[in-house]
Amino acid sequence: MRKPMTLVEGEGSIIILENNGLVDRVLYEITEAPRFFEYILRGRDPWMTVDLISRVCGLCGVSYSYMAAKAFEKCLGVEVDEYIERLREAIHLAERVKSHALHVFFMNLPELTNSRSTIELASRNPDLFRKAVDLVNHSRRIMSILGGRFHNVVNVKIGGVYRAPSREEVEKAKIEVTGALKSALELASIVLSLKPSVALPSGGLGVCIYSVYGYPHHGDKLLLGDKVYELGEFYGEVSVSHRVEHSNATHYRLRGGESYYVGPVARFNKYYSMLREEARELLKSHGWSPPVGVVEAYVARLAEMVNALLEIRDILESHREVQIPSSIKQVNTRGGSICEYAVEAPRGVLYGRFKLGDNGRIQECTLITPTAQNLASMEDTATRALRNKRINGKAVDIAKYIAVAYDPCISCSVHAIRVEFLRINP
Amino acid sequence: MLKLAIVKMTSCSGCINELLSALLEDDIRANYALVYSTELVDSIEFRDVDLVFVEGSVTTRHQEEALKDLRKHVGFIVATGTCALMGGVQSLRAIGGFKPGSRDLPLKQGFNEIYREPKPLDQVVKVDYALPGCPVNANAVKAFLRKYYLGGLPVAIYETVCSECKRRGLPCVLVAKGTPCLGPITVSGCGAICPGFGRGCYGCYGLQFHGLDGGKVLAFAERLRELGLPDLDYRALISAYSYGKYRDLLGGSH
Repeated sequence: MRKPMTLVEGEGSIIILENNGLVDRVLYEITEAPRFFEYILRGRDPWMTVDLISRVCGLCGVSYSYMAAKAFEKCLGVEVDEYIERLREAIHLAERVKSHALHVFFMNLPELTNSRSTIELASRNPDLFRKAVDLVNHSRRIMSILGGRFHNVVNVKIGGVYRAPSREEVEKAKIEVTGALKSALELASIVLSLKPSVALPSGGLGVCIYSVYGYPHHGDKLLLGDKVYELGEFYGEVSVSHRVEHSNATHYRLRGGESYYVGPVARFNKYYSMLREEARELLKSHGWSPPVGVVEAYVARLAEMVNALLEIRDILESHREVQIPSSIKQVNTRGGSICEYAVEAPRGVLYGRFKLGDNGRIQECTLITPTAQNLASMEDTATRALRNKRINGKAVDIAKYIAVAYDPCISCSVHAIRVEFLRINP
Repeated sequence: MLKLAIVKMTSCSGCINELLSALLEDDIRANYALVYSTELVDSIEFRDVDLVFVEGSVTTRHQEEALKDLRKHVGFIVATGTCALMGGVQSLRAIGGFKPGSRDLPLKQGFNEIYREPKPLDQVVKVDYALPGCPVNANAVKAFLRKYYLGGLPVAIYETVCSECKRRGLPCVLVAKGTPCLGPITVSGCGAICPGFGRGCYGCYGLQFHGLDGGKVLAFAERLRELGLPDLDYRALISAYSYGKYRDLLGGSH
């Protein structure tokens, strides 16, 4: 049987394969039309790519821009001022707040409260709704002040930012952060008191960026279990891509066939101790501690939201006036460089690899998105939860619930179709 | 109470969040009910819809049929965002040699139906109103919804980004700093965000609707080339955000 997915970004369906009236396997069919991003970025100048690539995802465009800027900076030998780097981290963290807020309060909350949509919930619980709207609006204004707008921010470039905020803008942003924190804490207290209606298996193995100094954010090493991998090693040898019949998106599994998941739960379970004390206290007071399962991802998202706001506040506190240099010094002008980097997008590890040609333009590009990496785990989790159960409305609800918990971002997942597979001759 | 729907074609869904921001306003919520949006409403029932925002461009036959069917059932269609108006960033593939379904493209079954050139909505159906932007501006959405409820439409303004810079009192990045900027040929509506950050506009709202012809677009390319923006990049930017218009103005010879 097939049911369209709702409360997720993008177009897809749940397919339940049956065997004598019982569930055999659960598949998530991704029917969204691909946009061939890896193809259209070929021949582009790295500078332009940083803006273009944010269009991969309407929810986490900063993650794409930031990942690309960092990848190019690393291989072209471009240095970034320390405060400017922190400022970009703040823009990226503001996106984490925005994305988590939209997910928890507009996609997850209807599931937890048994309503059709959060807008509908407004009449039942106007206070809760008002707080969610306040939080979204605060995050919107933080993004606008630091990045120019709510999505497709215009203030990330190779070498830093186009303009650093003035003292006055920083003060405005601080007021928004304080407001956002207040709304986030109040909302978190309500949502953390809700428990998922069903107990479900955890999502298997989690993968996140390896971090030494703080909660995972961006980097060039990944952590799987207790092992640390270089990016090239992980995506070359450890994680293997699969094409599957029922989906327009590529799936990823570990070489042994096991699925893995990325995202807030993977980060939270590994790096709980690196969250700010306030965030940990909030969870403790509601009886939550690691590890949480994938269906409890909203717990990790709320903790990350509070943590990110505290980080942004510190970055804004450290404000100093900086002059943005009009030209950027590029050390490496050789062609043939491989530029790669990973950031923790709201939904998990986003990896990009760009090969530059002799003319300095992109010759080949690979993007491995969080949702594409999560699809196999989503199917395995749903199959484990439902196998040999009777096919009925409840089974469909559980399959839907699992999808929403993973927060698939379908529009971006389908861009991870490997272009070399298509053998296009531009 | 008017019933409202959000339908997605091929896009990044960024415009949906701008629509959501508009729909959270108290007065708009009092007059409109969002009854269909797979992202925001846990229901797939599409019935008695008065007004639909369609975001994204048409890139498959399936979408084209769905859009035609939608036209039969809904009185008012708002093309929302650059993808819906002009084709969107995915149109960049059309200026390469991309031919899905051809012999050297062994795509999986079903992919054969993917169009080489993404279609703006108005190539498929009649569109009643257009909101430009990548993404659309929530304030423009709010203005539209408020006017529409009263039985009218916002007054259409066909300025370029330059007028917004002038109104904000921003120094011209092109003249003062010699930064390549697409502001002079890009339709207004963003509030001159990029020049406000000291950088050139990259045209994400699309080419100005009126008053431009191929000659002007090419003459402007000449000026940008002098300032260091290669023709290749200029064309990529125009194709990325204005493909529908680009083809009309410069198609055939390019």
